[in-house]
Amino acid sequence: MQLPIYLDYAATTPVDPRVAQVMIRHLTQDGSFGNPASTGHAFGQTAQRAVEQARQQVATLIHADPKEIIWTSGATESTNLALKGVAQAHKGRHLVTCKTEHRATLDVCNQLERQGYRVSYLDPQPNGLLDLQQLADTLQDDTVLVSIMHVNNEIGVSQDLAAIGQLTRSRGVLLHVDAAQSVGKIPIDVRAMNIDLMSLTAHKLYGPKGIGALYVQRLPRVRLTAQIHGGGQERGLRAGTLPTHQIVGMGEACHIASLEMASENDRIRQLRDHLWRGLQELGAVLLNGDPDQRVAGILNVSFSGISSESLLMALKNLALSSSSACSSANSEPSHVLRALGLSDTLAGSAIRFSIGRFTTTEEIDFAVTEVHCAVNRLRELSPLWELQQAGLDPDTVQWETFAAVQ
Amino acid sequence: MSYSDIIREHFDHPRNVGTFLAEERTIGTGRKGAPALGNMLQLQIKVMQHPVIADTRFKAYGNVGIIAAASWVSEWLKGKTLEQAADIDNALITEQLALPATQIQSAVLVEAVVIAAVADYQAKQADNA
Repeated sequence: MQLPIYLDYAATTPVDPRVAQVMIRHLTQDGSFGNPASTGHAFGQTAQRAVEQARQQVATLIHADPKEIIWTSGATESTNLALKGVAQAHKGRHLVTCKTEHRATLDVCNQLERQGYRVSYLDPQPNGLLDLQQLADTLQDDTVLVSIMHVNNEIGVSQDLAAIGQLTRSRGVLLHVDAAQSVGKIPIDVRAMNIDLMSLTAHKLYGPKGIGALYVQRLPRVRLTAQIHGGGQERGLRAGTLPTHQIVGMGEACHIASLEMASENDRIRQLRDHLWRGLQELGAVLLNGDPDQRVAGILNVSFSGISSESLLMALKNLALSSSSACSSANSEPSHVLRALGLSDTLAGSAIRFSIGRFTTTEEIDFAVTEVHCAVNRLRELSPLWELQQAGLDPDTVQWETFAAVQ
Repeated sequence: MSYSDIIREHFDHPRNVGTFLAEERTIGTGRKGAPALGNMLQLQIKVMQHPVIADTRFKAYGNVGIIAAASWVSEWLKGKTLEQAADIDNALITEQLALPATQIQSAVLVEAVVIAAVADYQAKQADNA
């Protein structure tokens, strides 16, 4: 067993060796390095065939048509294209999203608001799931798009896409889904779920970083305004030379997921349950997000009485996040946990464990032991824990001399 | 967050963790911070031979910086006079521990708690005089 143990699969995954093998064949002179747009010669034609095969592999995984797949640099770019592209191509001026969305979605929405669009940010229920009635009530006459993430990157809860899609379709509103954390982990059928646009990325699916895709439904066609202009690639919707090696990497990663998702999920779910049982033995631990409606690989746990920053430092042998990797550099409590209604104290004691393809039972056992040692040590140090043990509510502690330091 | 070696050392092996009986006449207790602010510190001094601090205990909740700074100051205080202790400057703590700029608040909290502990001890002596 190699230390530190990687338990941050929700931040990114290592590239599967089978994926790397395929990628290597599209880089060097003896491989198909040609520009997929150079269809006038064999080099370009070979590359183009590889790109189209990968497009089919991505489409198969989500039950789409390959013509509905547009290559991008990743889910952030896909979401930018989906939200800005739809807003600019339609008359409607209102969008709906949720407070627990990834920064990529929230930031794009903020930007659209600066440009005069109106955005409604839904509050999730305390378990992280959307209230469909609230969503229905929020739709207005000029609502053009609802953007919802399938699996939340911080807490792992999985929204009921089929129900959301049924609602948006019946109301004539487009649905964009951020599926960065769910594709290849939870079965997705864009037709059956009435999804109009969907953002995908390869690097959370054992593919390379820097490549993603946007699914854009063709029948009926979703109108979209391009955000990156240039050589007219991807039917004019996303210019730029196609990175063949990255694309085949994403294709292979999706192909592997299509074949192995079911059995892999069973294995990861068992590891996760094993981890959660081990953590619960500590006492005063709280699972954040719905216990059942969730992806297999993500557990977000609050450890009462201590701060997650200290806990992460004490867990030198484990690679973990206190919230999403994108924002863990700042010490603000997570916007996701806050939206669930957690107190700052509980939100500030939360750690995300995310496990994946290469995690072993031995690693989980080791992690549980390490977490027990670290949490017990920090709780022994903690006056807050002492107060809690004495029966005081941490959020109403009124110890006279514990005045705020300004 | 990357921390200095001295912060890591004190965080990994905190000194003088624990609690003295706050009621005892030889003990001065300082407590500040709040859960909602993300840190809490209790620091106690024990004076055997007035006015020299003989021993200390602390308990801290919060980030790595507050735990390490509290541990460091709990050692620094030993052998100091009450006057020297009350004269503590948070800049010294920041400098000695190479606290990151985002955690200077930890040093400010430690300073306030040391001063409160000395004041608590002195108030007890005045009451008993």
